[in-house]
Amino acid sequence: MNPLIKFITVMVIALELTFIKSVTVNLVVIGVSALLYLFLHLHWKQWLWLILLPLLPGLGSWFSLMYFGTGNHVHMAWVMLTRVFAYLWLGGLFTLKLTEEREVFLATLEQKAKLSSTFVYALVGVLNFMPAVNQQIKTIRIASQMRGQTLHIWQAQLYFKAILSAIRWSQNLAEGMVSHGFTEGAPRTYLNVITINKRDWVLLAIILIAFQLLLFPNWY
Amino acid sequence: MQTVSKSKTPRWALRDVLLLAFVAVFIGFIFWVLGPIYNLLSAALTPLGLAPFANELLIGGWMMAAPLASILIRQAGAGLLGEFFAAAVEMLLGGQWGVATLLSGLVQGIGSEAGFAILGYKHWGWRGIFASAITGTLVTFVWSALRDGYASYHIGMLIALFITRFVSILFFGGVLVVAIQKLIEKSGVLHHG
Repeated sequence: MNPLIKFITVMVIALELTFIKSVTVNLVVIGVSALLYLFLHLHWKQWLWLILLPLLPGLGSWFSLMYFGTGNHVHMAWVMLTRVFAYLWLGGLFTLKLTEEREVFLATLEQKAKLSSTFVYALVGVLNFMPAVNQQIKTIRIASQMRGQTLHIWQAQLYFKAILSAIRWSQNLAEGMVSHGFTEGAPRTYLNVITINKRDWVLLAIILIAFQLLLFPNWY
Repeated sequence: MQTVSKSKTPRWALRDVLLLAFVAVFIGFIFWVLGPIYNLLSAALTPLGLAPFANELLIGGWMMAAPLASILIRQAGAGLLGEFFAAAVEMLLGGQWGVATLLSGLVQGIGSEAGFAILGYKHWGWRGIFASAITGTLVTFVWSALRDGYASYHIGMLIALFITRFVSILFFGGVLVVAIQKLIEKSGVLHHG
């Protein structure tokens, strides 16, 4: 399935889950996601990640709603606990495969969703800079520590220095991209032409329609 | 010194987009170190039923990219785009919240952007910044009422949550951003021409 189609499916359902107060619907989403994960052959560490990650925020909401809730709060507490799991398991269907699919995803955004190539390549460029950004923040902090000054997260200096780096790097990258022949708004040709199968669209329609039908009965 | 292009049309120049993206990523990384602290804090607060306060205390930091992008680029949509960029990068890197990050980023971006929009995109100083902190709090709180089940809390708890969030956004998205802007202006690294 094309990652963009998958992304749309996941986003629409996640958005709807935000407004649906039903434990059953959440459990169905979790169950279907779990079934799909079985086909994806996850590593045991990924399973552990899927189980542990939602536990903390889920229980956090559960306890608060039990203690400080009002009205039908016991129901809402269970809705929140299952919703956090549904959210993350659903989202995981997209994110866990993202490392392999990231390039296709961005290429689809550019070619099929007609997102401006300036944005797509800015995103690609910045993603490649991630390790350097991490290093630069460490450098900023260490450099000021050598002058006997610790930069805390609530100090404007830290952000100011980070912004200075951002300004310099964005300038360099813009010049680099232009000197490598990137022209804003110019028509481009593609090495990898993305096609979205008809089957993907049909699948998208079936999943979304099935999900809407699921919402009709008055579940707990 | 960088000149931020001043175009009236909503066409985005490459260097503006890149600046926006880099600012978003830098802020994202600074607050990324907060992740474990957030988890510890909310774990400690969970048995007391006070876990949402961990989120409320730190939300201002996660929302900082938006007002910073606005004051740097000074263009309609910059805040929204900055916050969205930060969320997109976090998602593409496989952050712990995945697709949900993008939705929250969008809501936070809209909230922060609204403050500058209400003032007609004319005030990029403290007025705009504080307006964006106020709208940011309101919009994200409505979103939390829906997504995080806040609507089911006692009114007292609700007020406490709201105040905590407002203070957090007011500090990180307001006071701190104004201070950063002062430093930028003093240094003269940005030129709006």
